[in-house]
Amino acid sequence: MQRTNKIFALLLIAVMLLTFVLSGCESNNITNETTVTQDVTTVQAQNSTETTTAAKWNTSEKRTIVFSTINNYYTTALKQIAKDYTVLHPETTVEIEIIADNEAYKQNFNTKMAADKKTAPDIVHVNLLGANDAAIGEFMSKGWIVPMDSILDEENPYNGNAKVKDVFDESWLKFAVCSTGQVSYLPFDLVGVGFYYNKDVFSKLGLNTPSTYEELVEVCKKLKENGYEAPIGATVFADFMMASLADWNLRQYTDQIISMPGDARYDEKTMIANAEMKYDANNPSFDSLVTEDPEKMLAFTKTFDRKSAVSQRIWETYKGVAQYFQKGFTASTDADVYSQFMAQKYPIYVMGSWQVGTILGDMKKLSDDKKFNWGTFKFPSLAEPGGDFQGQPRGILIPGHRIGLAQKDDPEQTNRAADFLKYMYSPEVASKIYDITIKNGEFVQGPPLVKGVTLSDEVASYLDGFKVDGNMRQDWMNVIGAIYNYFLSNEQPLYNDAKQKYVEGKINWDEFSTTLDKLLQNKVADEVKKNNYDLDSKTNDKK
Amino acid sequence: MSEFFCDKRRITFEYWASRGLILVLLLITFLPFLLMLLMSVKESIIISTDLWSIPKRIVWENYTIAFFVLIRPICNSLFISAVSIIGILIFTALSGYAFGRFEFKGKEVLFLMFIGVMMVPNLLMMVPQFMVINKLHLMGSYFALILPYIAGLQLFGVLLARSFFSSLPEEMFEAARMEGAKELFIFLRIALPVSWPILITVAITSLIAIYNDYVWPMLTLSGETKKTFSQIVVSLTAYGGVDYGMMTAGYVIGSIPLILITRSCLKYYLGGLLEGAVKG
Amino acid sequence: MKKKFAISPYLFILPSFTLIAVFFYYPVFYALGSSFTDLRLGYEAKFVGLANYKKLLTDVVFFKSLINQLILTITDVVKNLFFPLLAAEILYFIRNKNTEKRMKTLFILPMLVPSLVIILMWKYIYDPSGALNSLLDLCGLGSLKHTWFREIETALGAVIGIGFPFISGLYFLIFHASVSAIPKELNEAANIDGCKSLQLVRFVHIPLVVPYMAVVVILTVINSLQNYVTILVTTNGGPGYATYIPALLMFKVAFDASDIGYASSMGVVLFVTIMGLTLATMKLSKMAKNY
Repeated sequence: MQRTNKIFALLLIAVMLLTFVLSGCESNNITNETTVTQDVTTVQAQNSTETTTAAKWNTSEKRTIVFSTINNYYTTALKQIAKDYTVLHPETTVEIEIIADNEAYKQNFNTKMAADKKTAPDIVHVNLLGANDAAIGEFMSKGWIVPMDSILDEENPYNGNAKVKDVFDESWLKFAVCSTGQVSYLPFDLVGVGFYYNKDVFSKLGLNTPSTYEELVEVCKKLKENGYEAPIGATVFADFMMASLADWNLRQYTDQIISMPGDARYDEKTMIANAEMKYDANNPSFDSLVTEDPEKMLAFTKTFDRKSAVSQRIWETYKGVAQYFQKGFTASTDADVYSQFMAQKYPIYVMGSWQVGTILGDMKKLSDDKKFNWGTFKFPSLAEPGGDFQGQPRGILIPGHRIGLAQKDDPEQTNRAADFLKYMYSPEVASKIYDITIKNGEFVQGPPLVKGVTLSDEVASYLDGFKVDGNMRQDWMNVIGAIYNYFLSNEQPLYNDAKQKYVEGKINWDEFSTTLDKLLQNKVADEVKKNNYDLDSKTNDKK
Repeated sequence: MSEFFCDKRRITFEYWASRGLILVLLLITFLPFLLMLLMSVKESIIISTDLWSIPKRIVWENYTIAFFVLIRPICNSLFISAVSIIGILIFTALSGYAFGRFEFKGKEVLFLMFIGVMMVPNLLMMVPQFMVINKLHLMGSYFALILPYIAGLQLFGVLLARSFFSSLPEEMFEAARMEGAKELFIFLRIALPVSWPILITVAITSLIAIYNDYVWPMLTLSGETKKTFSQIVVSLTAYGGVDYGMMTAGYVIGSIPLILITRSCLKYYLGGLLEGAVKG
Repeated sequence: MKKKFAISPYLFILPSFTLIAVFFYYPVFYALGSSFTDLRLGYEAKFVGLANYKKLLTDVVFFKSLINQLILTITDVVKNLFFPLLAAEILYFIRNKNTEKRMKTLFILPMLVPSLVIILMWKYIYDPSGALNSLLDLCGLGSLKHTWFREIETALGAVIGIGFPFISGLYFLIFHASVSAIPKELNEAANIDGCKSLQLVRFVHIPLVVPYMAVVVILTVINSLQNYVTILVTTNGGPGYATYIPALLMFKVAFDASDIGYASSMGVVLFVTIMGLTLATMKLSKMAKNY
């Protein structure tokens, strides 16, 4: 026993020394590696970029920029291009930081920016920081996020010196404008939400893919009769069904939630589109160029009657389908539902377009008796919309990865980070990211938004099921309280609890709508207090 | 000890029933660990669809991937633990000895102040501690963890050390005292060497607590390279895709350091714990 | 020991005290103070008197968390008293000393695995496609399947079930040691009086083990009231707020909603409760000891 003790003690000391060495010498190691390869491969690249970059940062000083991202989204590919970038620019190390989940992501950013900005990441997913334009606008005005407008006008040395904004469709850049009127991120890809289904089960039972909610309910009934306890596996993404319905009805009121001439925040230069917008039931992109005004949206949310007939119809349509969700769906995670779909326990499941890549990869690994054919279909419409719902419903096909820069008070840090973004957003590198990701069976969000990237036929065909007629204005869903993350964080459990009980029939519409309204009013009041609004758009109340 | 199964007729039934029960309990206790080992060599998708099957092919990749993901965090955790434990042992020994062998004014009160802290829920102080770390400009560095760990874990240690030191016979010290040796000398040369069983107990308890600590590193550390084992191991089950095979391989790998270290000192660790529990 | 005034004791405890003052006493007063303000991270604080405490009284989630805590603590005590003692007793009756030793070691082995890993493993066991459900399927009890952590009815129960059969650990050691320490003479005397083993346990062992039971109860209560990591990692308080406990709520209010003032007031209430319960438990166990 004595001897084993000594051995273990020595082991421990060895480990300690090892970590000392590792932590101390890590930065040195990387520079050693790259200086060797630098001579061989990067002399040319360096020559061309050095003149433009020399002014932006000190090329002889070694720095690290942190790109904070989430697990499994292009992660392997990002790490690869981070290495590639450092070969081109040995003075900048790009660290890909992986955060466990969305909540932790937001917490991480918030606490670090509030405490000591230096410890915060440099490149962030703007979409994970705030639920809507107003929330992002808040970050922008707090000076925590860098506006991308000037960067978009710069030349991209990695794309033959075309302007950075040339790889984007103008409408998507407009989409990226937050409530302060500035572009808050660069969109990388599109993400949609739709239904995945088990083709084998459907054909065995003679079912067709539904195109209306009524048909969907029929399909579910038949599935349940045939032994499927939970015909639809759902997570929070299923709530976008409500969002789609809400948008279908509420978009006629778009003029009430945008800055118009006469409003305090109306800016002639950037908001011409607002004044020119005209509601057209049959034009799904009639509002694609407008800029939302958060105060007006709050005012609308506050006065909307959640007990109205329209609101009730939306919720009851949702409930009609939600009864066929798995029990306890408000707390389910993506992983739960995914594994049950793949185990063929849930014949249908609602998820985002990013799952396509993984299903492709995983299906190959299953033994032959467990494989099955699958497909996708988009969100349904209503069989008899009636006067409240004109035209066609819109769905979601929105920028998924929204990459932005954290404002760190140190221009050199920001310049380096911006340069890496330019590298990432060149067609060549973006294509590489897609290739590596699909090869590794990791998540591809959906169709790429960087012009010049192409996908294989197989992947493209699965992504077809997400192509919708138009893209909904997501903020409408907050008016009817569709999704949990709009509510105050310590009231979200109350919301989820009420929703679960409503779907299971434990509380009726009256009770539910009352609770819903109360929680929404709390959120509105909190936003008003935080921003010092007076809910009168004629006055600009920014503190 | 077992000479008294009173009623001979009942031996068989009771005997087998209790034997059977204990075996079942043992099996159930070990089931999660066996499952963990089984899962760690299978493909994730097969785990989801066919949990109890023997894998057609042993997926060693799970271990290689998990190893590279975890090696840095494990080293970080061990490093933090090592530094913290050194500090904890120093402080514990000093204070435990003082409370155990000295008489001085306010001794009882001061000791109660020590123990009183243990009653306050850790969570209450988490935010102010966070602010303190911020003010000391330690955010993001290992010391943001090490100092609070020493501060907190020394309490339990002092409790154990005090009763240990006070139980030492006076004769040990008389000789040195009569020669007029300094207190520090007495402490270092006489008391400390005999106290290593209790110190081992404290060290291992602290190691287990630090290694498993999840919340505090999450709040204060930044940067992928600095993350501790606890943070990384929880994130293996995170958002997006979950590779159950790699995840469980990671659990196995992560358990190894702790198992090795604890096993080698098991006797002393358990002995010390029992003593402490009984006396407390 | 001579009774002259020596500075050395104070020097000895000085380092410890400095750390405690900085990391515990200062924070405690800070927290106490901030419970009377509306402090939020990144904003200025304003004094609001008892507003936070009043808010606590009407907080539905807080009350649910209190109820949950009560249930959890009681079940924790039962879990830590019954099962380890049962195992220790059965082990006691085993004839072959070697087998007994081996079994004891086997039961202790899981203590070596990091608790975080154990919790995560149990999280997987309760997964819809995890071990528990697939076992039920194999036994033909497929209809009993649930999404354990996600359903309001089963979530708390599932949390309570983590760690079944609750034997491995410190408490088993304590009971095993205490049962082994019972003097032989007592057992033999009872034997001569003509008893059955069950009676032996009831009337001889248990009264002697009571002091240890008291220790177990106190340790369990203190731990149960402070531990929120298990729930954080497994259910995160969900579904809805079915598995919230006060400690978890405090954590979320402080770090998700950044409402430090409110969180501090919760902490103060929690502290007072822990103090009260600990003192009460100590008094009760003293009474039990004397009895």
